[in-house]
Amino acid sequence: MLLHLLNKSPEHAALQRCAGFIRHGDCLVLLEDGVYCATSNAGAALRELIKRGIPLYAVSADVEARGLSARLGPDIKLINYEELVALSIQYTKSKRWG
Amino acid sequence: MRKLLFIQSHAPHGTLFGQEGLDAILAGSAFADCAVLFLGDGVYQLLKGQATQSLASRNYSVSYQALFDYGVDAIFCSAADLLTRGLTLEDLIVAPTPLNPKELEAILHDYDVILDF
Repeated sequence: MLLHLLNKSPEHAALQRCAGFIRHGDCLVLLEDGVYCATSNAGAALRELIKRGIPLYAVSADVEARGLSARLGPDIKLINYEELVALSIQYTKSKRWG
Repeated sequence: MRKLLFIQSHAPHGTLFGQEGLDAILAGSAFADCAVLFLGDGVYQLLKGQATQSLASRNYSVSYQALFDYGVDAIFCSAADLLTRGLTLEDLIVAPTPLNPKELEAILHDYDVILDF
């Protein structure tokens, strides 16, 4: 059970790179510029993860700062920093992409 | 007068490029004929509704409205980069002139100096 952390926008293709390493039971947290990957326009890699039922989270402070609140797909759950800490405890290992 | 082209190509808040770029444009406008071009993720600099209260970062995006007051009225963006991000001119704090690849190539060559942020 791996917690994947992604902090780069779709321009950097980091999501495509990490998507292949995400297994059933893992989750993906989008933070900093990674939250741009959660916009409904973000593309195939994200849609594939949604289809596979991978839990997807985005840090709300980063979403709000970038003016993206109304642009996120419905399958992204917004979390605060406390919830991010809770996830990092729940998932014993984490991997940062970007 | 020398013509300066400032290029914003990073999304806001993840790095300091946007803030530094905007400061440089406003300062540069006192000395030279300045234009600004938003390329790639740089178009996100202009997205309306940025609210940075939860981050320890200033919402400098509102200051883009001051560009006109500083005499910077040549504001451009890549039309394709807007489109791929699902954005329209109505989503932006100030409306840049969208350029096609041919026009982008032309302005990169027209200006005397390019400053990348």
